[in-house]
Amino acid sequence: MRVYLMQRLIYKSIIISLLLLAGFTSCDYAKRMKWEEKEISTTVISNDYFNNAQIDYVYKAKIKVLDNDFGGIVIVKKMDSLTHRVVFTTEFGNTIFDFTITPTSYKLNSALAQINKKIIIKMLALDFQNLVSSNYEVIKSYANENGLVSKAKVGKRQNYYSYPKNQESLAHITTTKRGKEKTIIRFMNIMYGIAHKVEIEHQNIEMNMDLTFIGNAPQE
Amino acid sequence: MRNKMKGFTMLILLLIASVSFSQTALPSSEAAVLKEKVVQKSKTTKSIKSDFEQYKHLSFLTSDIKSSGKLTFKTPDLIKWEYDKPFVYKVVFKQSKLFIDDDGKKSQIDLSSNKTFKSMNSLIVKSVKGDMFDEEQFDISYFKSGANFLVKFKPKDKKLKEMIAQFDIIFEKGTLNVLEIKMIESSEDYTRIVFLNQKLNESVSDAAFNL
Repeated sequence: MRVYLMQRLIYKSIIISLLLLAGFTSCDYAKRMKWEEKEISTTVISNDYFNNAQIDYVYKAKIKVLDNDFGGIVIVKKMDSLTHRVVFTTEFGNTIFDFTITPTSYKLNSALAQINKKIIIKMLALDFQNLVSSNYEVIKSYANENGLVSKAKVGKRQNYYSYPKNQESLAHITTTKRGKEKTIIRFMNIMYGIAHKVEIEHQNIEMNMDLTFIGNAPQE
Repeated sequence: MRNKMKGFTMLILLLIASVSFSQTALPSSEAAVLKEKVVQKSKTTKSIKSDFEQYKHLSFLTSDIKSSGKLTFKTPDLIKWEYDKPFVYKVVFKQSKLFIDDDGKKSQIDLSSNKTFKSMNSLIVKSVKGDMFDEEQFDISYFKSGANFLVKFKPKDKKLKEMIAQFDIIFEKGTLNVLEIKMIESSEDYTRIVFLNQKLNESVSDAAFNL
């Protein structure tokens, strides 16, 4: 009986320790950044950079993985209110992968056998889902020295959408998990509603993707 | 009465156009002659310099994605593609390697370890000359297309088929120059490359293929 009680106490203390440990390590990202929480004024995330169904969003991509450089063409098309098509081709036009993406899911339409590995596909799909999707519910709002930040829960991650004081449109997205930065997506050179430069920078692996717009931009 | 004549004329023009651009299968005797002439021509072609326009067609896009540049080829298998619009990108196929200059960033890929990529690049070299007549590798069919010839090559190799379901090559009547290559994927999306201002057998140095 005594041994049984001891075991239960030990298990209980282990569980309490684990809970305490989890509490310390999953520190809220916004608190760590010392942002001031504000009343929520916007209820949904706005990301309009890929929202015009009349535009073929075509980008020249440069990808760096560890010390290796790759390139290609990224094509994004808004298909309906929730769905985007994202295709990556070589400069010659050979399709490397082809996704259909919604804010909550993705479907791999095709991929070259060489990259059709679960871990690679999932990483790419999440990157592009974060890049193109919007309409997520804002669960918290913050103010920092640069402007406003809206927080949304996207799958297992917490994403922070930053809107600087001097512009109305989205400047960058920071995706986090358990309080740690996973990726930062920056939108730059905004002209006529199109981000002419986009950077996707991974924080926990050595992989960056730079996109430069080469499509036909509207002039109004 | 005037509108009726106009409509009738339009109809005649449309009919002529549809007949002109339709494909008709080439009789086997003419196909054999065409093949022999193209093979002979490719043997005497030592170099090609050409402008090109490339169109990437994806069914869900509003319009094809256009890029353009210059092609340089030197026998037996040196080839350089220089894209200048809408991006700057150069790639050279040389000695089982791919040398890339992506707007100043240089890299290279050894193709010898990847049979499918090596095969694909070899086909691109051959398609530029038009010399893809290998019935062990392809199911081949021959057509007249307007004033020119169209030859369709369907790969037999399963792995190559996954990348390209069919190559279409248009040969110019008379000169038998390659006017156009179309690489069709299994999804039926395709890349079409149109060659312009071709110059054959001009002097090309090996240094032209250094990046």
